[in-house]
Amino acid sequence: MIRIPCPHCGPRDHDEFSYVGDATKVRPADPAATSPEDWHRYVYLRDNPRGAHLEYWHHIQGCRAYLKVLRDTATHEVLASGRPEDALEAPR
Amino acid sequence: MAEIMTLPPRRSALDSVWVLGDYGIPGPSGPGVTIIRRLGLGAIQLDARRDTAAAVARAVSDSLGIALPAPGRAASGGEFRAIWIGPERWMLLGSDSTGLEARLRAAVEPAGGSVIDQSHGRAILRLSGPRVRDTLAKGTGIDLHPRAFAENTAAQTGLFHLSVTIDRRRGTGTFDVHAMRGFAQSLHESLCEAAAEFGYRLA
Ligand SMILES: [Zn+2]
Repeated sequence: MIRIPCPHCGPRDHDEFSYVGDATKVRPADPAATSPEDWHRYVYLRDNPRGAHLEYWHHIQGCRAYLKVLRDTATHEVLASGRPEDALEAPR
Repeated sequence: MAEIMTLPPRRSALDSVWVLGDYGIPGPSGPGVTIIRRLGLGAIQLDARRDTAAAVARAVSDSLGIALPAPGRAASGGEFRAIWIGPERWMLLGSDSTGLEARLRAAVEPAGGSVIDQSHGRAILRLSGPRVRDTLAKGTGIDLHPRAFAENTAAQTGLFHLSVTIDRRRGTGTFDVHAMRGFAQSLHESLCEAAAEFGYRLA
């Protein structure tokens, strides 16, 4: 069982959350000037890293807030969590 | 101009299954859990828009005499109860006769708050008795021990896979459980099943 520390509610079982997606993707700043290839990259193409990965999660059964989570995809260890706008770093 | 809409009288989602009595296997001192329905209760959601939380809290305190609680907390004030349910979001509860929705709307809208009446969309049960924690613990990952979940602590969490709000009231072992109306019978069934080994009373 993964436990995710919600920045609002504290640590909760991961089944209170739903996974939203890759948090490393940055939406193109100027949609009109963005090529179809760059839109395709933003919308569809994802890395599949082994190790620390930035993800968005939704605390759907709790406070209903969106969170950012740094999770190790190999061990499922949650290394850091915060609000979507936070820059997360793995603890040393 | 505001139009007045008349709504049909509210009926409990549990009317068809709520048969008063004692069930399960009671302990030596009677049923381990007593469940009542909290009927005729208004449930009004309050959202503070960006950067208005302080002004909204002041407006609520001035008009209704209740201090909006911090994250993870609930508070009583006057005839009302307020529960934190998310960032800058609260549920306010009060008897239908208090005109809570209109009073809250008049107080907070000028301060930047939004008010949504959820009264028809919620079913609220009150559980008390010596085995309440044992019953709830079968369905949630939240630690309900008094050390971790003191009086006036509240949490939105999963209970028997349903989304609920659990509000620990003052007084030993009394919890209010709020569920969405459409899930009320499912919650009732799960609670009764979980409480059967301790004996339970529908009151
Ligand atoms: Zn949360």
